Amino acid sequence: MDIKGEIRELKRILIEDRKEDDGSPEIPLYFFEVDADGNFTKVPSILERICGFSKDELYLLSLQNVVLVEDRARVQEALERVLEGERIVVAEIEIFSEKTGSHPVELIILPLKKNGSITGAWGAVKDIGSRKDMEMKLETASSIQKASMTFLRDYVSLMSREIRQPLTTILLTLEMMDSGFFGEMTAQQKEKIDQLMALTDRLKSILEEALSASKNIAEEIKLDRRMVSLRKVIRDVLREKQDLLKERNITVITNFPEGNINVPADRKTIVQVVSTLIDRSVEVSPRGGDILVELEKKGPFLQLSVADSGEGLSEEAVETLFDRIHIDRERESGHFKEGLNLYMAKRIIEKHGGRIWCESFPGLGSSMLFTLPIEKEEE
Amino acid sequence: MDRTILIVEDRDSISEVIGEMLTLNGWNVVGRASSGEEALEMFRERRPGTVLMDILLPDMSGLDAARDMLREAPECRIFAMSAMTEPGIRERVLDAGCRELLVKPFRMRELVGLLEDDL
Repeated sequence: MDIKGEIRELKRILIEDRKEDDGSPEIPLYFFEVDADGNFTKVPSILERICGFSKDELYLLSLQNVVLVEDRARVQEALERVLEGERIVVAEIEIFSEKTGSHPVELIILPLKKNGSITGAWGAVKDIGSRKDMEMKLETASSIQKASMTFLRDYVSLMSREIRQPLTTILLTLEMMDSGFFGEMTAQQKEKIDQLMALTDRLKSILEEALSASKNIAEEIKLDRRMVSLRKVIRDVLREKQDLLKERNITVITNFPEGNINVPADRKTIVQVVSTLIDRSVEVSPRGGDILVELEKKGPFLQLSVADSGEGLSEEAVETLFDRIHIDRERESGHFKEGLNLYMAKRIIEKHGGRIWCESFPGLGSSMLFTLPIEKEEE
Repeated sequence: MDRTILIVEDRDSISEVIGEMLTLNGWNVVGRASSGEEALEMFRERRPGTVLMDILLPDMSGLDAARDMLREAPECRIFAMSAMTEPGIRERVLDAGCRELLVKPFRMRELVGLLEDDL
C-alpha cells in the first residue's frame, strides 16, 4: 500500500472535498488500523484521551466497541463495505467518553491492503467535539464581552448624567462670581476664576468623550467602504485642527508619495483614527515642537505615520497603549480619553484589514503608524 | 416684553444659582418649583411668560408638565434642560412643544442668550 498516497487521498476527502473554509484551524487526524473483525491493530491516541481506556485496554477492543450503541450498526456496515473494497466516510458518530458519556467524532475508513488483498481497514478519527466545545466557549465569551460592553456604556451614561448636575452649579456660580455678583473681585481672583471655568469646561469635554467612546465600544463597527484619499483625509483633519496647532505653536510637516493613492475605507472612521493620532501627537509634543505626518506605500499596503517630538514612551507603555484602559504613570493627563480613543482606533484599523502600532524611543519621541490595504492605485 | 420666568428643577443648588443668575440679567423669577405638580400649581397662579423646565422631575416627566402648560397657555415659551445626552432627546423636547433644549452643564451666556434671542 502506498501510505503517502493514501494519506494524501484521505486529506483530500476530508479537506478539499468537504470545503472546510470557515477559517477554523485544521483539525488533527488520528490514524487507526483494525483487522477484518474491527479489532484494533493500531490505536489512535485520541481514544485514550476521550474514552479513558489505556492503550493496552483498547487493543483488546474493536472499533465497534468504542462507538455508542446507537451508532454501532452504521460502523459495522461501513466495515463490511470497506472489506469489499469501498472507501467510506462515516459522518458524525458518537464514541464513548469517560467524562461526558459521549463525544462526537468523524470516522473515515478505507480498505487496508496487504499483498493485494484486503485484510482489514484503516482510517482516521477526526475530533469534532473539541472544535464544538471551542466554538461554544468562543460564543459564550463573545456574549459575555458584549454584555459587559453594554453595561459599561450604560454605566458611563448614568455617571455622565450625575456628574453634569453639580457641574452645572459650579459653572454658573463661577460665572456669577466672575461677573461680580458676590462682590468686586481682585485681578488675581478673576484669574483664578477663569482657570476654574476652563477646567470645568475641560471636565465637560471629558464627559462627552467618555460617553461617545463607551457607546462606540459597545456598538459593532460598521464600515461603509468607498475609495478614499488618505492625503485628503490628512489635509482635512489638519485644517480642522488649525486653531489647536496655532495655540500650541506646533509645526506640521507632511511627506506624501507622488501620485494619489486611494484605499477602500470607511471615511468617517478613518478620519476618527487620524484625528486621534494627531490629537495625541499634539498633546505629547512640547509647545513649538514639530509633528511629521508621512504616507508611504509598503507593498500591498498604504502606511500612515504620525511622529511627535515628545519624550517617547517606555516599552511597557507601548505594549499597553492600545489596550482599552491603560494607566500611563508617566503623564498626568488624558488617560481615559486617550486609552479609549486608541483602543477604538485599533478596532477600526483591524476591521479594515490593517495594522496599527507605536514605535517609540524614550527621549526621542514616538511614531504612531497604521496600514490599510490598497486595492487599486491611480497615477 | 414679558420677562417673567418660572424655574422648574428638583436640584436645589441648580435652581438657586439659575434664579440668581437670571435675576442678575434682568429677569423676574416668579417662582422655583421642585416637582411637576408644584410647577403646574405655580404656573396656574402666576402665569409666567417663560418656563425653564428640567426634563427629569421626581413625580412626572417635565415634558408632560410642559404639554399640560401649553394646553392651558399655548403662547407660553417653555425651554427644557437636561443632563441626558441620548440621541433623540432634542426631538422629543421639540415634539412636546418646547422651544429648545439646553444640555447641562451650560454657561450663563448660553441660557441668557437662548431666552433673550427668542423674546
